[in-house]
Amino acid sequence: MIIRRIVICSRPVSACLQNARTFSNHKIAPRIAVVGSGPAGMFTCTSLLRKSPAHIDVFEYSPVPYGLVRYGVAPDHQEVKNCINGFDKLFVNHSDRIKLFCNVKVGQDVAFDELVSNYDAIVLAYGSYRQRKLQTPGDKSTNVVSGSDFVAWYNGVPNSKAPLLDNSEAVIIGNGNVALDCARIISLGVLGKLNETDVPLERLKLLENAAINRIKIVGRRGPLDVSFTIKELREQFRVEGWQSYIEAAAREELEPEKWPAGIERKHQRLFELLRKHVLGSGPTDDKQCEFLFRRVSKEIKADENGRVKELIVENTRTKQREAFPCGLLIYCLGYESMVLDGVPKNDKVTCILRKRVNMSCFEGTIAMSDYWRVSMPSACSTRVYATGWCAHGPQGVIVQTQQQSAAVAETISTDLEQIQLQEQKPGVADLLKSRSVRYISWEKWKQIDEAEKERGKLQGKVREKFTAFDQFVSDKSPVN
Amino acid sequence: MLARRLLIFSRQFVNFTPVIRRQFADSASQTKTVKFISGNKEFIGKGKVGDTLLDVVVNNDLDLDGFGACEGTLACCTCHVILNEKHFEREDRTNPAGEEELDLLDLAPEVSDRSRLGCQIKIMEDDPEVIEVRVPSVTKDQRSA
Ligand SMILES: Cc1cc2nc3c(=O)[nH]c(=O)nc-3n(C[C@H](O)[C@H](O)[C@H](O)COP(=O)(O)OP(=O)(O)OC[C@H]3O[C@@H](n4cnc5c(N)ncnc54)[C@H](O)[C@@H]3O)c2cc1C
Ligand code: FES
Repeated sequence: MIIRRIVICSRPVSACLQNARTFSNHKIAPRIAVVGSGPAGMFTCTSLLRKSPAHIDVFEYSPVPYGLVRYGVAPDHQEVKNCINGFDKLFVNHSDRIKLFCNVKVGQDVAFDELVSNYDAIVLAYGSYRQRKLQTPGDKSTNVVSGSDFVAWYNGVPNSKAPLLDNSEAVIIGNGNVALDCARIISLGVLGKLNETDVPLERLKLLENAAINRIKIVGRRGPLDVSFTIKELREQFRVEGWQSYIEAAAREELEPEKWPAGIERKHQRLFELLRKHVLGSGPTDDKQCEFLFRRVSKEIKADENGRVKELIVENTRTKQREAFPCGLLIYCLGYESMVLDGVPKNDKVTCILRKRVNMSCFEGTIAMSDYWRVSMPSACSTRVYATGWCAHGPQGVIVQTQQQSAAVAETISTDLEQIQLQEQKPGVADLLKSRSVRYISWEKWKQIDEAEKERGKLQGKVREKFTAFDQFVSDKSPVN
Repeated sequence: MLARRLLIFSRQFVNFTPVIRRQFADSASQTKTVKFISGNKEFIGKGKVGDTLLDVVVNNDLDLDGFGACEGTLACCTCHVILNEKHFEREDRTNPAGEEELDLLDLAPEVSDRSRLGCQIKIMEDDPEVIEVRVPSVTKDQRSA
């Protein structure tokens, strides 16, 4: 992507000590920094702009905003992306109170500590983009890719590496929605059914010319343990031209008498759908997507060029080893939480202490003092909050993120009402300029957005995404 | 749908003051009041027969931020509402939830037997003058992960 100019080392949260406040009587609008412009950040802004007089600066690492809505949500789910209209409207309706700084990485272009010194409150909403690793011998073989890399590729993330799609067999490891998204995009892509979406043209061509006609979706556990959501699962079964089915060996486990007693309606409906699609008679279509369960990955075998040729699994039903030939292996094992440099983190000791008082604690996550607040040193007068995937783990869909964010905004506005600020905080716009950080403002994003839609129109697509943004942040262009 | 888009769009240019009216019975019989109850808060808006509950939230600029994220295209379930028994039965008779709606409700936090999606529920002539629905929200006693 764009070369980062400065690397800033993070100091401990010493910045806190410099800004202890004395209270005075006149009201000053608080200044809030939001780290990340995904749904968590933007839904928080939506509520904050209504509930408090705050001025908000949103920092986004990527050159363009809205996180996984742009770069995660599948291209055939354009309606899910409608929330972008609401986000964009915030910058129009409240242009005096909210500013966007894309292409700014907190922890690199500006340190967390510097935000602490320059804002009254910080909202961490930076998601969790690190994919859990496969850790199977042979996982370094060519064309073994993570689901997030594959998703990033078809969604047009700059500099993502194109997978090789020239072999007829693909295996996808994982039983969650990302695995389903990958399978569906391949299924639809090879049939040329994504041509009107926002998959970048050159990537669309690769999908359309792909040789893949067999997909195996492989889960470690049983069919009742899947994390698929029913809508996405149904979509796979409905892809015309592909026969998508559950392996016959799962039939018994899917019988209603094997379902746990008293399960919720959503599980009943999901299990019913799985059961309905257990393979009955033989294959009908030449393109097939098979769901296999109880297979533990043991080894990835490569050909003489180092490219994946086979996944060896253990079938825990039969205790037999099986070999699944494949020229592409995608693993979708979920995302890992990570903590930005300088942000308080749960370590072993904190977790032991918290668990003693019956509080939950996961090592390596942001240290929170409750559902919304980050536990900052007591001398720190800057309030720090966290929401969305970075705070509550990479799970769930936009509705959960939206609800968490509405709740965090409520907490922030109540907290800030109770303190009277002594001085107007400066924010870090000048600091970024002094460091020649070439950020992309909301106005510039709108130029990009319009240009993308215009380019799309010429091709009969909703949008033709740019996959390089250097022209928008080159040295010759104005800073914002 | 298009009309709604236009409305959303035009809202940008109108200086909107939230309509919070305590007076329930409206002289125009086609206009009804919808009371959205979320936690211990109430948000009250007006809508015409034929408007969806999402239309009411949007047109009245109710403080239910994020409600209707996919703009009523059956893709998000942020418009999840819980109806009272009579209302649910009325809807279930004339406008039952289809498969798509049920699939989305399966994702909704705090789903109940009387859950529906607000973008699929229209104000009907049979409805009382004041319609009450519940909007689930994150409960405050959740502990940090
Ligand atoms: C493949 C995939 C498909 C999905 N499909 C759907 C779907 O169809 N429907 C649905 O409802 N949900 C879907 N989801 C879930 C949905 O995307 C998440 O619920 C939601 O995006 C989480 O929001 P967030 O803001 O916490 O994280 P994100 O959306 O990841 O946003 C975080 C943002 O922070 C930025 N950031 C990270 N680090 C920094 C830094 N150091 N400085 C500045 N900025 C930073 C990132 O670039 C990113 O833009 C999908 C998720 C994935 C992974
Ligand atoms: S508004 Fe998205 S489903 Fe109703």
